[in-house]
Amino acid sequence: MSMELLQHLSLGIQVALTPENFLFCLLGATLGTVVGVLPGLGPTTTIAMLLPLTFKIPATSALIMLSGIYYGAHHAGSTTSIMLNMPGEPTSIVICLDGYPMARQGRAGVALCIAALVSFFAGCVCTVAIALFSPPLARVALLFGPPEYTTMILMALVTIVVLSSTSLVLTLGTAVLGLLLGTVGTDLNTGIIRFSFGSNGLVDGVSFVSLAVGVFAFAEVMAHIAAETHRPAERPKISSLIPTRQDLARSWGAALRGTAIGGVLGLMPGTGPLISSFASYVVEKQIAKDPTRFGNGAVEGVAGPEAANNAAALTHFIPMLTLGIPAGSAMALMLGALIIQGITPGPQVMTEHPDLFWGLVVSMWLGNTMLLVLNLPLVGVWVRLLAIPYRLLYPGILMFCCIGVYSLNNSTFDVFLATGFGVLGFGLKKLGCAPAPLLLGLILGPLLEENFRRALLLSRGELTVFIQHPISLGFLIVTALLPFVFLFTSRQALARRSHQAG
Amino acid sequence: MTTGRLFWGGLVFFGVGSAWAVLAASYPIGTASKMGPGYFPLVLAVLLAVIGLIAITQAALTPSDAPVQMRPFWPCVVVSAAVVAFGLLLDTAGLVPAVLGLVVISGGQRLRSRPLELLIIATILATGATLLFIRGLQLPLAVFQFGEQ
Repeated sequence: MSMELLQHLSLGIQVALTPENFLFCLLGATLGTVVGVLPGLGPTTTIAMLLPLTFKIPATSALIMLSGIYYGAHHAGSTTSIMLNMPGEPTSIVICLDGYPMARQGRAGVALCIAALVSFFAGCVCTVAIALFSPPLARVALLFGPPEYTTMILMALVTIVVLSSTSLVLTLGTAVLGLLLGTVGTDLNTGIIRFSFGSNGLVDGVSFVSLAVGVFAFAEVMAHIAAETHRPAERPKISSLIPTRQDLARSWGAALRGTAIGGVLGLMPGTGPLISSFASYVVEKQIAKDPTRFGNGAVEGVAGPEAANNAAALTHFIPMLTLGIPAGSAMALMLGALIIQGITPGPQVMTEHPDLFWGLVVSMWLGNTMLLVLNLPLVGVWVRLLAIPYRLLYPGILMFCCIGVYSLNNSTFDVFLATGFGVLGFGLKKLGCAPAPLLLGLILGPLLEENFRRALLLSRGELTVFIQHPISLGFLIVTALLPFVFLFTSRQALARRSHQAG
Repeated sequence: MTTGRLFWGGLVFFGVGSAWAVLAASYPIGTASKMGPGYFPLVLAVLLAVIGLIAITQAALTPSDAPVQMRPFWPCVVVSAAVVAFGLLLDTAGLVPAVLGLVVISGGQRLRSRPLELLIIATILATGATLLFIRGLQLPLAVFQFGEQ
């Protein structure tokens, strides 16, 4: 460990431990826990909803709180999977497979305790990983020129398309539509206003907050109010939280493997946390001496995926913080928040705003510790939150969204725009398309156009510039291979295999 | 030939792509080495139209294109109407009427069965929003107002 890293960490500790930042971290982690428990309210929706309000506070505090919501939700999603067989977050679906059987055997407390412990473990390991690997990655990224950035953005977009699609061609269309929406507004090179249809509201481009609130929050409410979900009244008793010696012996290997799988898969753009929890489950089942225990309350089936899920949720931050490339929709929103706060995302964030980066890293560790304390003793409270019917919640969700969208530019135009995107999101759902590529397209569009134009300006219009630069060529090759690679690791393939193996 | 997700999705992408290409072509295009404001959007729009055509072709070749299930459609209408009403009322009548409108319209289907519940939610949200957003966060919003300002 170098002297430099220690200096950075002590700066981070100073930033994260100021009373305001400590409170924002606690607020974020608590909100995240609530959101993680409630089905129908995910981290992306919550971040989209609260994002405009965070512009009133300093960038570092805002990012600390939004991050808390994100990893807090991943942390808590497993609670309802274990107690009620209902994933609070899509990423916790896998925890149902063995967590709920454990609860029915009267071992709910043990499952919750293991889940909390491995989450904390994965959180600690991955916070260290962020601290260790981000600076060298950013140093490499500083060498990237326009051709490298162009092909890297392309690679990120194709990855997220491949990972989140049920239909490759339709999801690709969604991403291109997002890129096109990104071209609306003033062209920075010439000052010409494009595709604004004479509206003042579009001169600065399509507001990403309107889009996110529309396609995530509004479309989500539309999907949920039709189906008033039926919630099981009874819940398993929590008798003992203490795992047996055998539980611990079985869990720690799974937690290590899960952390490694999640830590690596979380780096990739796309649905990292979900895929990595599936992958971890498949791995645990295949290396187990007695695979028949899986699905019947095997503790490894909780420990591995839960560690992977949380590891991925944290390493998901690395591409956003070091390269300025968001790995998913929640990260895209945080990137957007940075831009609005006047911080240009990219490798220079770490050197120009060290307090922001290192404060965030330390707050993540702090937040994970808070979650460990929050989750276990208060588990009864969180589970009781489920008794709140959705019909009481959604008017409040809609109101927060509307006021949030409005307050960004004090413009009702943005509210109407969000309505339009809500309808679009509703339509996309009906076509089986994930909305994430649309948001990533919108956020990455201007960056892609700028780098594409600069690359071709420097090469005098020669497209071969993208294969003459070795790193850029590498990105292109990976992009071309992605559809084949993920035929085997796609969500559907993993789901199929985790079923077949049992 | 089945008309399911691929077909309709493809048709929409083709339509939007083509229209956007026509729009983009009305801006200066320039050359690859010195792109005008229309160049990049034109490339993307053509790409979107091509993706739409590929989807339609796929739909024509596959026997089982998953059908588009638009029903129930009312949630889309109700939520949109509630949000639009919020926007209109916020500009003309203030925050409290806007919140009331939002709650009543979005919960419209329960207006008969649970009127009291809706009233309570509306009261709590309107009070909470006034305290949090106007008193607390000092957003430039009027609690009540008459006519556009």
